[in-house]
Amino acid sequence: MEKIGKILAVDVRKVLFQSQLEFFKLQEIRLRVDSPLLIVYEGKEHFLDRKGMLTQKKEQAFVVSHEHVQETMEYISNYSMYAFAEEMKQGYITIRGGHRIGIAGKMIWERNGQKNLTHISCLNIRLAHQVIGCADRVMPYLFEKKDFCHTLIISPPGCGKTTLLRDLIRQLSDGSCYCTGKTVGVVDERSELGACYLGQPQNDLGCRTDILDACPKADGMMMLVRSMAPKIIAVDEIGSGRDVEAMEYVMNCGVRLLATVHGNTVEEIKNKPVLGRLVRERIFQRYIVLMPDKTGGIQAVFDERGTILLSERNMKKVSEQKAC
Amino acid sequence: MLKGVGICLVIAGCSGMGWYMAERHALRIRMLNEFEQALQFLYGEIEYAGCDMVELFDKLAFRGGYFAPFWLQMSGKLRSYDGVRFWEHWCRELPKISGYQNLQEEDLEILLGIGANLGNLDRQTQLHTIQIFQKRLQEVIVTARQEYRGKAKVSCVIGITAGIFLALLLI
Repeated sequence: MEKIGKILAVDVRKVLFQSQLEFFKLQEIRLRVDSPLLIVYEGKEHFLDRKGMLTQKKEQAFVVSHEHVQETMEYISNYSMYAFAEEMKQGYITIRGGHRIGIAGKMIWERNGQKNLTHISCLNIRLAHQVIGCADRVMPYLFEKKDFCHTLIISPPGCGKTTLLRDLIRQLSDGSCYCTGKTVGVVDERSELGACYLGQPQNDLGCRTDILDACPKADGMMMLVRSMAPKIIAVDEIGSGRDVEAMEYVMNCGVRLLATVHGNTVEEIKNKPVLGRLVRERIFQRYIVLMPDKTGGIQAVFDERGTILLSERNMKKVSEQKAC
Repeated sequence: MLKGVGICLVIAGCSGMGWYMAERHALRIRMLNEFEQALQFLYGEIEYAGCDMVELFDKLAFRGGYFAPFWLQMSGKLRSYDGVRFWEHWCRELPKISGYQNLQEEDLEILLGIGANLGNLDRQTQLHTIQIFQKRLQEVIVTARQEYRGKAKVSCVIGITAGIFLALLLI
């Protein structure tokens, strides 16, 4: 909590520290100019008042000023806005620890696209949590004849797909009772998985993991295949045509793929213009669908034919089997 | 005998003062040169590595020189996230540099201007701003160098002359 507090304006930091919230339950902190300080705690939205008490009444809440947002931006960027200019064009920056900060303000456009973001007025600090062991429930279903299957994790934003992916990478890399440790290549375009700081990962991604930090996914996948001979390649939030092309290249090289995508159901992904083809052609062998309303909740695991391998109902059975 | 020693001491003391005044000009040029090199370093690191200010100040402090304690203090202060703005830290730490008194008003104006324009701009504008200040600093250095020879000579001559004059007065 202290580390995340440091990136907040001093006044906001004081309010947050007074609240004595448990860090791992805190998911989001939202700062909007002249609006109440809002947090998402245990999956629920709350305002924070001056004394750091949770409240549902807007009138009692601590009001964030323009100076607070500016000060926070200075801390987030380490007093170096220029260092994050490229990331800011995408509307977010990732800071040490893998926490993602969404930014909104006035966008300056030029002929060839966005140039810069100024007059920043809204910040959404999404806290990354490393949950060791959160992939235990799904691990047994991701192998066929001891081989790892091409796997796609499907979930809406903020439901824990990056956290699940991180733990899957760690388990595949270190090895578990389901598989021996494998070389995993990670293309961490947004520095969320490894949360690299000065090239060193801050999160545990396993002992056989090679990370390409801040590298575009499509280029990174190709580079990893050519240079690091991975058995599995993991990427977060795929979507563009170039990503899908690179994924096909990776799969044709005999490398297994572990990826995540925004969505609610497999059907929804099937209808996506580019990625949908891979689903229709049954290239992915496993789909992990996360619950939209419960962070980290697993709705179901499907195979390429749509057979349910694991669902909420048989979760209990899984927890019994887990002691392997 | 004692008179002779006294006269020698007076002349040596005054000459020393003259030499000290000349050395102040030289020190000013060395400091400005060092700062100009620091700007060149900042430009390169921002352009190629995109390092943040804290990292850059650490690197500059490691290089040593007159400004090393300043860079070190700045990086420490920035790391504290204490609610004080970058510009305020810069203004507070600048007068603590040893040799600060050797800098002239126009030098300080440039140094403060740099502080006011660091960190809060996009990359292109940041690089452009550094270049502008670098140019201004180079111009000041060229003028200071041209003035130095004359000033140094005058200071030394005045020192010696003043020493002799005082010695004559004492006799």
